Amino acid sequence: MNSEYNNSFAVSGSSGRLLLVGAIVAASLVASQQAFADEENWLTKDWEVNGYVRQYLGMNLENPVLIGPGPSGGLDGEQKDDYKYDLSMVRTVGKLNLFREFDNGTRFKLSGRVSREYETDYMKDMQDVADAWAQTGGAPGAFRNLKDDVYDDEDIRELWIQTELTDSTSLKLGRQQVVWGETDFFQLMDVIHGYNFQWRSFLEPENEELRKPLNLVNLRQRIADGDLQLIYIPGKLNEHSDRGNSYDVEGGRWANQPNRGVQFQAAPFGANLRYNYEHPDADMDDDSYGLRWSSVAGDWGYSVAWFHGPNPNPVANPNPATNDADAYKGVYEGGAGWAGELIFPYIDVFGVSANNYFPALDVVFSTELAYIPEAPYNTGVTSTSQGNGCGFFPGFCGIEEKNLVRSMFRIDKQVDLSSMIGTSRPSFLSVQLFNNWITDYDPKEQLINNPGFSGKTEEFSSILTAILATNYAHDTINPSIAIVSDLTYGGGAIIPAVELAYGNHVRVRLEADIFYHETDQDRPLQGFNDTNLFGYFSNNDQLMARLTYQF
Amino acid sequence: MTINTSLRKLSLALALSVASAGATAASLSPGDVLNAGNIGERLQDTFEGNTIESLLTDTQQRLIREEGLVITLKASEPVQLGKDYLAATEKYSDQVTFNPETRLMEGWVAGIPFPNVTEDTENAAEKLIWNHHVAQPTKNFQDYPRFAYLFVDDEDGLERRQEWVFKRFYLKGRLGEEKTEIGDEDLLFKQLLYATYPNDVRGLGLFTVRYDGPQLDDSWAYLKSVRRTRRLSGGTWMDPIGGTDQLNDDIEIFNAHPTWYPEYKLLGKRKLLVVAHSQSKSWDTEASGTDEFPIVDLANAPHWNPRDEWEPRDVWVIEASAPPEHPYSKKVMYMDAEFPRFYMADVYDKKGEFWKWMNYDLKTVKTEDGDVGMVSAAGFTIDYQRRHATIFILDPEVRLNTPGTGPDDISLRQLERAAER
Repeated sequence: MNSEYNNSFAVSGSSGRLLLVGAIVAASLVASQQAFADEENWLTKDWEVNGYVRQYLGMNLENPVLIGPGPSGGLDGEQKDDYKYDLSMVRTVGKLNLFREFDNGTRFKLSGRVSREYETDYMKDMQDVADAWAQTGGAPGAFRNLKDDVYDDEDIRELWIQTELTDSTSLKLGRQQVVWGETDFFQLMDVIHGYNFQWRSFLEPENEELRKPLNLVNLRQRIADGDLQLIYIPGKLNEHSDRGNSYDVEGGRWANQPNRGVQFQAAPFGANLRYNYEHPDADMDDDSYGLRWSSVAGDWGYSVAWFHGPNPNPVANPNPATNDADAYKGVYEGGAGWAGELIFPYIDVFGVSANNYFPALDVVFSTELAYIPEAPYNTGVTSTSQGNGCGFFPGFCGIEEKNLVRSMFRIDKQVDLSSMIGTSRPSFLSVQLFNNWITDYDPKEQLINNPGFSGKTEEFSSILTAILATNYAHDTINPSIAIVSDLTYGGGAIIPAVELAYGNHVRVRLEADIFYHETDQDRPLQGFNDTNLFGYFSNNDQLMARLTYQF
Repeated sequence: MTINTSLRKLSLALALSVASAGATAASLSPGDVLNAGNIGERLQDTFEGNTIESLLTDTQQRLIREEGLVITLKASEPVQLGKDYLAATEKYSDQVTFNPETRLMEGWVAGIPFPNVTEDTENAAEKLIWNHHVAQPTKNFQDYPRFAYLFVDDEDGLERRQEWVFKRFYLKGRLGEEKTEIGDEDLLFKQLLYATYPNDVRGLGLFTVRYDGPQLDDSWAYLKSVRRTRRLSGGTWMDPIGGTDQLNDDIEIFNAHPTWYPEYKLLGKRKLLVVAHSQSKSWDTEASGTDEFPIVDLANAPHWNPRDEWEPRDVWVIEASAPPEHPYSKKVMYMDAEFPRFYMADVYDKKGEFWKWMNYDLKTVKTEDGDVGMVSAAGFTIDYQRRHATIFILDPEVRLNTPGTGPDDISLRQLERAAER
């Protein structure tokens, strides 16, 4: 059953992970002992220590919708307050990395990160609204405490040992991040890990900070100019919640408009939607694995890869008892009165990527193609309140598996803007087109982009992104702008930022996140409409300041 | 009247004679210094038989007068070159030719392709540049476990620093081995460069492939922040390296394929004061503050001058005209006449104004296989227009020709491995 409400597995899973940690540390000690047994300080010497302490401050530039239940517990609630220019995030993060490379080539790394948030008035109000909505379903309060359960965090980011088994074979074992593919912002072959979008959505420039590391086996075999990589992820040696992408379904600051204050796990009127990590066809205890070949052919760099693992995004498996729908593969394991459960069905992803530099145009061209047979989509454009729906929310008519082709085409170019805007060196410009194509699309199936919203999935969809990164004063002042435009569903984002470097230790990032959209939903749980990706970010314009002291 | 006139002439002659005797050129000794306070008086002094004026470029004189450069004299001594380097030069140089039509060298195998260039040699400048391109006296593998970039402002001094690892592996012209080529026959060298400090650039790395031909380099970056490699533009060879004052083709003063510059002129051969046997410790890891890098005068404005000992060496003076799209109009470079390594360069902007001065303090080190090779203990790129400098500092624990490394060990995979730390 769902490990969120049945933690029987957690014991055995923790034991397994403990064993893994023990094995890595023991292997490191053996490796180091063999190499340095004759030295007095063999255990303590040569460690590389680094990390940072970081302070985030976020401020709303708009008044985000935060509406709780009405006086009688109905849908007639009012906006709780005006949060424009209120602090949306006060987050302190510390990270410590320890690394050592032994003389025999064995390498060991441990990286830990601790995050703590100050409970702003805005956060308190989101929590209050979540509590109030949960009580409409008979729960004593919200399923999650935003500060304690969602934002505060302690995480082992890396714990691995790497050794050369032969001159051409390398084994890296333990908690790590493995990234495949070429695409910025979106996941084509970068599907080995999920991302945690709860505290910062997709905006953090160093996406290694958002990626959820996994305990895995990473075996690499060099063959001529190429590299064959085998990834094996034992399901039972990883936390269930470390799989797939984590979106803000807890009603926090990055919950989709207008769902701030609405926790899916303890939803209004008991229409709960909780993660089930043990659905028979979406069982996170099952292993994941993949294979990639990367090499160079002539001037082209390329890779070919296959990965079998959980779908990056969750889909809603509707409760047949509360929706006019069938459960995924005939199995629903959630609560009797719930709306459904969120699951990550296993998929196969087949991908290729290629890149080359074209001197005549002075551009780098990159492309990536991924084919996902039987990619899961929720169906049902309308809710029962809109008529012809299957349940209280849109998208609860079931899960259809479609054949999906994703593609990316990108050009990178150095553009000299020094005479125009006084940059100290040529600037980096990158323009990327990201596409989805459902090859067996049938409009009658009413595929939707996100359960809970009525935004209908089109057969073809594209998003254009562009990044311009500039440098001034010997790279101590680095302004950039990122632009995202949804060519199919409308809307986009403009993200101007500047990074400042002071000496060896202090770094400052100032950023604005400005979103625009075609359609958004005004109130929670009603008025479902054709809201899509950038409608979810409506009313969420932000200013963000990040101060880092690194060592 | 006549007597008076004669007396006056006699007095004048005596006065001139006395004055002349007072200004007689002194012979300077090792350890004597040239600085702003004495340079005016010492130009006609001699060192090892040459006037100081003749031993200094106009730029050096100006920097001593106006920019606080202090030159400590050192007795000249022969530069020791590797035995395998000299043997390959003797064995293979006879068969090398230069094709003026293509501007390419033909028939080179290993060693210095054109060791006997004189001022009268046809295409002398191009041949010297080819010598530099393929025959660095570093042997087969430059293995620098650590070097630093110091970013220096003329008022504030040391602003920040970065630390990097550098590995360049030559696939052609290999010395002291049975075969002179290894791996891909189209490649001249493969190179890894990755940062270890500070934390925000730690893990940033570059893998570069240089062809044995005029095509642009292939290069990839590893960005640890996103854990991914990314193909880079090969057209960045004339762009600045990150936030440094160096362009990519300024590394070791000249880092371009010979054909990428449209024209070279040999301006002559002369004897100059250069740092051929660096005497200063480049990096004192036990020290801190301005004492950590004794080879740089970080304590005194403008905080970027080299502190080393300079000796007379015969050098070629070569002018390289930059292509129209290049930020420079020309580089005037000073190459040792015995081996193809540059000591200094004067760089001019598109208006012909003096822009940058580069100076490299060279020294000979033992290679891991018992031969010798040459490294730069420090390299100074000083931008006199923006009043900023980038100084390359080599950790004294440098290695050349480390055994056990093959061409496959310098690869994109190895970049990822190295950067993930």
